Parts: sequence; structure tokens; C-alpha cells
Amino acid sequence: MRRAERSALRMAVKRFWRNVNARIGFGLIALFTLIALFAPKIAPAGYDDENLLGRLKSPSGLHWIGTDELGRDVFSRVIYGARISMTVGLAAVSGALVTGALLGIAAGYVGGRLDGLIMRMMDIMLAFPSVILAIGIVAMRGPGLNNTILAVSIVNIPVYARVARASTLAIKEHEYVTAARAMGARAWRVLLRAILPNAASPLVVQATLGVAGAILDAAALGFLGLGAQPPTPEWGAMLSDSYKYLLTAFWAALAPGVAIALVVLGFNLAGDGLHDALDPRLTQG
Amino acid sequence: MTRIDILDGLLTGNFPAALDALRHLILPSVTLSSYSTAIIARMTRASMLDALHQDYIRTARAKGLAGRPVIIGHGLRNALLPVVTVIGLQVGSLLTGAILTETIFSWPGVGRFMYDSILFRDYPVILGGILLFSLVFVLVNLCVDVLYAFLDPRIRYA
Repeated sequence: MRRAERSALRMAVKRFWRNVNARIGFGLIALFTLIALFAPKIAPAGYDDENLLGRLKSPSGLHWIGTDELGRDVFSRVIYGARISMTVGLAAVSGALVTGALLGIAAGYVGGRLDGLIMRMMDIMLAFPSVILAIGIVAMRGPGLNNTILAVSIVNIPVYARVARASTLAIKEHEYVTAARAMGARAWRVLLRAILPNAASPLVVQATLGVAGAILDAAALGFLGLGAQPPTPEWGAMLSDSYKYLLTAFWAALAPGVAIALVVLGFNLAGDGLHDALDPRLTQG
Repeated sequence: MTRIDILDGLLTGNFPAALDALRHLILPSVTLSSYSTAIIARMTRASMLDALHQDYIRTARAKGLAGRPVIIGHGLRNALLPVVTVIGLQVGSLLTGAILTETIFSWPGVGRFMYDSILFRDYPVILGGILLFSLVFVLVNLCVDVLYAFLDPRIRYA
């Protein structure tokens, strides 16, 4: 059993690695993770070092991507911004994944009235466009990075709950679940040892793609002034601060925009690659 | 008359004004639609690939139909269901995108109104906007559900 699991995993890793797009996605994620981890070592300046005499300067040897409207080094701010966006993306998706998976697995396994109650709640949440709901939550709780994470996390719960429930419904009919029950395993043990590992791969795929969505949502909230507050170098907030100077200093808006696009592209490519690697039945189109 | 620049221009015969209003719509429209365009294109491709591998496509080709009627009539018609679903769901990102796009292009719509009320913490307006957007979203997706029955006569709502 253990050995079979390991070789299935190795096959999936092999399939993932054969896919060029997946490799590029993984590379982008690795790159931005390293940038986020070593931001103080890489950045030539601090993210809030203002120089009011050197405002909106074009790219030069001193400031690689120029300076913004307060004379801060755009390159350094984008580097530090990787920390914010990666943290927000991973934290929001982790929260949504854990909550959603627990709710979905419980709903699918127990069934009946609990299933109806949980899934109708999820349906109600899905009736709102996600960012609109997130805006509502942050507007109620007040702007800030923690509330952004909380809001993006909450609005993504239904996605994971539905994926987890669908897998659970299929898995709980298998013999090994009946076997586990017949051996006297408690409900939580059946859920965690028999069902969760087998429901994991669609959840992992959804979570990887979800990080991309969460980073975009967080950037949208940041753009609206609901996310990280100044002088935190959040990419969405940087965009909204600098788009007014687009005609005179395009670099200040371009750099965070490109950074968002690259990170989101990375997670999307990696997510698609995982999807193809973990679902071998898939025919190559 | 209607306060919609393009319509007013056309109704009063002031065609240069209508053309000008139309030209001011180009950039916001491209901005707002590009994200959904990509997603709809991807979905259509996947759905078409799936539909074109079905047996009835081979049947249609075997009975001598040319390429285009097969692809449009038999392929696209059957591939449309998931695409329409995605279009319905994309309305959500269009509404969200409207807030951002109207802000960037200083377009005085509901989205811009919401952005301003977020800045001034005008909660009744924020909540009203959220409710309005959600209502539109739900109604559009209701229309999508009704559309299923038209696209696929096998689907019936009793």
C-alpha cells in the first residue's frame, strides 16, 4: 500500500515535470518565493525610503525601475511586495482550503440534513460575485491586510467545500471505506485516513489555481484602498497610487502590474500542470 | 434625451457625437473584457475538443456534410452548454471589473460610485451596491439556466 502510494506520487511528479508549461509555472513560483524570502538581501533600498527631490525618476543605474510619486525605489518596493502577495495568497487559500475541505467532507460523508444545511449555505455565498462579497466583508471589518486575508479566505470556502463534497460522495462508496468502518474505525478516523487522502488531488489542483485567484482578488482590494495600508508595498495599492502618473512615469505602474501577472501566471500554469499530472485519464487535447 | 451619449447622438442625428462617444468606449471595453475573453476562449476550446471527438460528429461527416456545418451545427451547438455556464459566471468578474475599470477611466457608473463610497466609508451605498451587483449576477445566471433548455431540448424544467 505504502509503496504503491509512493510510486503513484513519483509517476505524477514525472508527468508534471515532462510538461513544459508546468515547469515554467513551478519556476515562476520558486522565483517569487525566493524573492519574498530574501527581499531585504535583494532589494537595493528600503520599501519606504522616500526622496521627495527624486520623484517619478525614470529607470537608471541607481533605481533600476525608476522611482514612484514619493521618490521611493520601485524595484525595491516590488521585491518587498512579493512578501505581501505570496503571504496573502497562501494564507487565504490555506484558510479556505482547510475550512472548505472539512465542511465539504463532513457534508458528503454524513449526508442528510447536515449536507443540505452546509451546501445551501455555500450556495448562498456563491450567489455573490466573489470580490464583491470580499469588498463587503472588508468594508464592514475595516481595511487592512489581515481583513483582506480573512475576506478572500471566506469567499473561497464554497469552492473547496463543493470539490471536497463531490470527491467524498464518490469515495465513500468504495470498499476500503466500508472495510475501515467494519474494523470499527471512528468517523473522524475514516474521514482523515480513508477519505481525505483520496480526495486530496482535486483539492490540491483547486488550491494551486486558487492561490492565483486569491492574489488577484487581494490586489483588487488593495487597488480599492481596502487592503494593506501605506506605506506597505502591496502590488495592488502600488498600482492605484501610480496609475495617475501613467503618462509621465509608466514604470511605477507597470512594474507591480507585471509582477502580479507573472505570479498569477506561475500559479495558473503549475495548477494546470498538476491537474494533468494527477489525472492520468485525461486525454491530451 | 436618454442621457446615454451614443443613443442621444443617434436619436438626434448628431452622428459625430455618437462616434466620439463610441470611441471613448473602446479602451474601457477592451480593459474590462480581456480577462473574460481569455477564460471563455479556453472553455470553448476544451468544450469543442470534447464535442468533436463524439460519435455523432463522425456520423455527420460520414453522411457527407462539409466541414463548416459539422463544426458549427454539430460541434459548437453541443459544446455551447459549458461555455454559456462560464459566460454566466464571468458576469461576476465583469461586475467586479466594472468597479476597477470605471475607477481607472473616470467613468461615472455604479462601480465608480461604489469606489468613492468605499473611500468615504459610506456603508449604505457600499451595501446597496453589493446587493445590486449580486441581484444582477443571480438574475443573469437564472437566464443562463433558462437558456439551457433552448440550447439542449433534452433539458426540461417541469
